[in-house]
Amino acid sequence: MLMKSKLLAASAFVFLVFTFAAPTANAKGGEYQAVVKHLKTKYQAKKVKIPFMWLARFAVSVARPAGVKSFSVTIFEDLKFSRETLDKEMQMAMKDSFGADWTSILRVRSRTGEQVYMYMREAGRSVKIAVVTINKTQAAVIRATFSPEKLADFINNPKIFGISLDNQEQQANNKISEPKENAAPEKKIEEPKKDN
Amino acid sequence: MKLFNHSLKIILPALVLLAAITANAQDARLRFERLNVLENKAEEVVEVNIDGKLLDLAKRVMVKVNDPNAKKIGQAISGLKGIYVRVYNFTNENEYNIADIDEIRSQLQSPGWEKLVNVRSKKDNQKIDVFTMFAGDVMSGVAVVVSESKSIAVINVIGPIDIDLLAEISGKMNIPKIQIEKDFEAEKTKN
Repeated sequence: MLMKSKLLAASAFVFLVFTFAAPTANAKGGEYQAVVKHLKTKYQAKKVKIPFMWLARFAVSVARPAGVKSFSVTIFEDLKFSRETLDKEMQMAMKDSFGADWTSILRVRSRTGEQVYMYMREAGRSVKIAVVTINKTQAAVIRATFSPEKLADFINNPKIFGISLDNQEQQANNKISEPKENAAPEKKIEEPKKDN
Repeated sequence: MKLFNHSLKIILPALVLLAAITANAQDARLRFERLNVLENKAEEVVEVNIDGKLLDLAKRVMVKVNDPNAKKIGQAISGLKGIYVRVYNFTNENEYNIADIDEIRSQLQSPGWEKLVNVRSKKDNQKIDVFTMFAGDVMSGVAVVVSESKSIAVINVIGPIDIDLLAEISGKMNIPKIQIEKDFEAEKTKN
């Protein structure tokens, strides 16, 4: 009986997580989806499957490392475009996809087919960042939402699930836990050589 | 009524002064429209637009980080209103019209801007101009215009810039070292 109720509670929790997380992700990713669609349809780009991406996204939404609340990454290959018109087309697509509340921070374009577009916008206390990179026939569209305050906290004390990522802190902890036998030998002070 | 008049006497000049400072700060913004014609000619284009929102965000992060250098950087950028960069690289020499970049230089001839550095070199047709704008004693804008036979770069910083603080944080946290004091001291010893 207890097992049954636990199972019910767990399935209700999973159901709630997925029902609420999915619409929020869709509502927030309108611009992202528009750019992805543009790359897919205009340049006949093939989407590259990233294994366990859903798990990584779920883990990030729970752990929120470095203040990152959510993220999406889509990678494309085999893009077919004209180098002469790519930048203009991409600029148009970005303008159409990202509204006036988004700010274009960075744009890099090279005739060899390398392009970088970076947009940012504030969403309450969070910040949304979108990056589109095209390198010859490959492209990546990245979107992330993060909290600047939490990012600062993470820089001060880099921890995920209570595990410190700070090397100095880890080394200090290791030194405390290491038995004396395994400890690194102390440096011997070399005596100055006597001149003959 | 007297108190009201007295308050007005204080508030109105303050508002005028504030408006003048704001107007001055806005004047420091260069218009890059003319450079758009270079888009098609250039081999590489780099466009950076860091406005108040992003600077405010960086400030919020820097101030919260427990590092004295980060705090100083936060302090240095706290008043900045924008940083704008345009870089155009060309494949061949003289592929661009010099009038396009001279239009930017002519914007810097307007009142308020003062020329700080002027370099002219025959090597690569290099021209470097650094202009500053002051609102009272405070630097309210900087413009750097660099043109060479195969490249053009324009940097425009808007807002109060604390040079002393900038020199203090130079060489830390990936900020290039500014050797103002060393150069000055070296010149001193030479003389």
